[in-house]
Amino acid sequence: MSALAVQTENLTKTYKGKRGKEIHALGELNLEINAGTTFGFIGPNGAGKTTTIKILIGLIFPTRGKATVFGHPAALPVSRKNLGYLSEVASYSPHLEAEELLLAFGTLHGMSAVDSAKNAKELLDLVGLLPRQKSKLGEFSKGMLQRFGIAQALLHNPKLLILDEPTSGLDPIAQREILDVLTRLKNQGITIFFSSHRLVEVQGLCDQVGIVSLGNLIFNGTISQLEAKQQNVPYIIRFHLKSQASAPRFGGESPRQIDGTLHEVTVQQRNLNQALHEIQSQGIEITSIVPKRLPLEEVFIRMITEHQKGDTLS
Amino acid sequence: MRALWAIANLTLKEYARRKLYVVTLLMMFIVAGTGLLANPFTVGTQSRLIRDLALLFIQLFTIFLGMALGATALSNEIERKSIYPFLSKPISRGTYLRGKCLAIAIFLTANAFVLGGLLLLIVRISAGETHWAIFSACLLIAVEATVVASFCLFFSTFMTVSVTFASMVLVYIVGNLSHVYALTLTADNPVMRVILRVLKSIIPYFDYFSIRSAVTHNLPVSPPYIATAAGYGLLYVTLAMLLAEAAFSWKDL
Repeated sequence: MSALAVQTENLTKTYKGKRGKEIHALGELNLEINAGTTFGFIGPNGAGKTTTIKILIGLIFPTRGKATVFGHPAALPVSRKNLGYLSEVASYSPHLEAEELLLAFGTLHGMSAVDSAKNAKELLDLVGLLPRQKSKLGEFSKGMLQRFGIAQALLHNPKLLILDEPTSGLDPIAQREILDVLTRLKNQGITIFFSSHRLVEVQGLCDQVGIVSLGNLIFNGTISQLEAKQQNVPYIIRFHLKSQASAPRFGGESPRQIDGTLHEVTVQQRNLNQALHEIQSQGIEITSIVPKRLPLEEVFIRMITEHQKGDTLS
Repeated sequence: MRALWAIANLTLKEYARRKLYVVTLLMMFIVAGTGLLANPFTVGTQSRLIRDLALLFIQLFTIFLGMALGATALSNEIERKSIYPFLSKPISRGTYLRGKCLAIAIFLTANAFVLGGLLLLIVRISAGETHWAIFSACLLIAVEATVVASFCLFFSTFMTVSVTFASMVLVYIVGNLSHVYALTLTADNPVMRVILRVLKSIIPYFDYFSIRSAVTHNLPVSPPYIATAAGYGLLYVTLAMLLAEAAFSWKDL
C-alpha cells in the first residue's frame, strides 16, 4: 500500500454553467497527504472543498489532472476499499433500520455477516446509537444521522476517513461528540481528511492544514507554519483601576470600564510590550491578556480575503 | 454477487415499507371486480370475459408500476443524496444499477403472480375452471414490465423523471403498434422506411409478450414460445442495463 493516503496532481474541475459559461470549481490542486496524518481542509463556502472530496470518492470526475487514494485512481472502486466517507448532509433511506443498513454496507465492503454484525454493534455503541439499532433512520435527528454516518464510514476499519464538514448544522454538544470520536480515531492512527469552514475545529485536531479559496490551494502546511503567518493580532488587556484619573492612555485611547474597577484596552501586537510596561510601571494589576480574535482565524481570514481580492483584481 | 443481492434486498425492503403492496391490494379489488362485472353472462362467456379484462388490468397496472419504479429508482436516490453512502463503497456503479433493476424485476414478478393467483381463484370459483395458463401470461407481463423499467432506468441516467416517463410512454406506444412493422416494408418514402426500420430494430416489440388473447380463448401457448419471449425480454433488459451503466458510469453526482 502506498505511503501516501491521498495525492492529487493538477486536479482541475470545470463545470458548464448557464449559456455554456465555464465555472472553475477547482484549479490545478496539488496535495500530498501521508498515511496516518490528520488533514484539515478549510475554506469558505464554495471554495472547492466538496468538489475535491467528491473527486476522491469517485462521485464526480476531474476535467484535468489526477487523484489517487493509496496509489489507486480515485475513480476505481478498488480505491474505496480502505476508505470511509461521510458526506456533509448524511442522507439515508428513511424506511431502513440502522442495523440492517450497516449490515448491507458490510456486505458491500466484502465483509462476512459475522464481522459486519460484530462491528455494527461496536460502532453503534461507540456513537451512542446501540439502543436505536432497530429504529428506522427516518426517526433519527440530524445529529443522530451524522453519528450513524460515522458508524457506517468506520464499519470496515478503514485506513482513511474522508469527512465533508461533519459538524455542519449540529448543535455544540453534538459537534463536541463528533470531534471526540475523531480524536479517538486519530489516536488509533487512522488517516483523517476532513473539511470544515471552522478553523477552531481544525486547530485542535489536525497535523496538516490545507486552505483553499476559489478552487486554489493557498496554504498547505502544519498548524505551526500557519501560526507563523500571524501578524499584528490585536490583544485585549484587562486590569483593575482604582480611579479613572490614574488610567494610562494608549495612543489617545482611554480604557473602557467593564465592571466596577475592571477595565480593558485593545492594543496592537506590535505595541503590546510597550503597553504592558506602561501598565506595570504604574503598579496596576493586570487580570488577563487575550488575543481579540483567535490568531489562526485572523490568519485564515486575511489569507482568504487577500486571495479573493487578488483574484478579483486580476 | 453478494453486493448485487445486498442492494436488491435493501431496495425490496424499502418498497415493502413504503407500502407499495397497498397498490397491489387495490389492484386485487379491481381484478376481483371483473368477476362481478361478468356476472350477467353465461358461464363460458363469463370466464372468458373475466380472464380477458383481468389480464388487461394486470398488464396495464404492472407496466405502469414498472415505469414508475424504473423512472424513480435512481433519480430519487440522487436527489436525496442517499446514493452517496453506497457509491463510496468499493462497488461499481453498474453493480448498484443492476441491484436496483433486480429488485424491480422481483417486485414486478411477485406483483404479477399475486394478481394472477387471485384471477385463477376467481375463475375457479365463478366458472369452476382452472386455467394454469394465466401464470404464463403473468410471467410474460412481468418480463414486459421489467423491460419497461430497465428502459426507464436507462433514460433516468440522463433525463428528469417527467421526461423519462413521457419518453417511455412514447416508446411503449410505438413498441405496441404492430403496423409500424408492416410499414417498414410498405412505406413509400425511403427516409421514412429507414426511420421505421431503425425504430423496429431498437424498440422492443411489446406485443410479443402478450398472450392474453390465447389465454382468454383457451388456445395453446407452447412453452418454447414463452421461453423465447422471456429470453427476448431479458435480452432487451440486458441491453438497456448496459446502456444505463455506460451513461451512468461517468455521470457527475
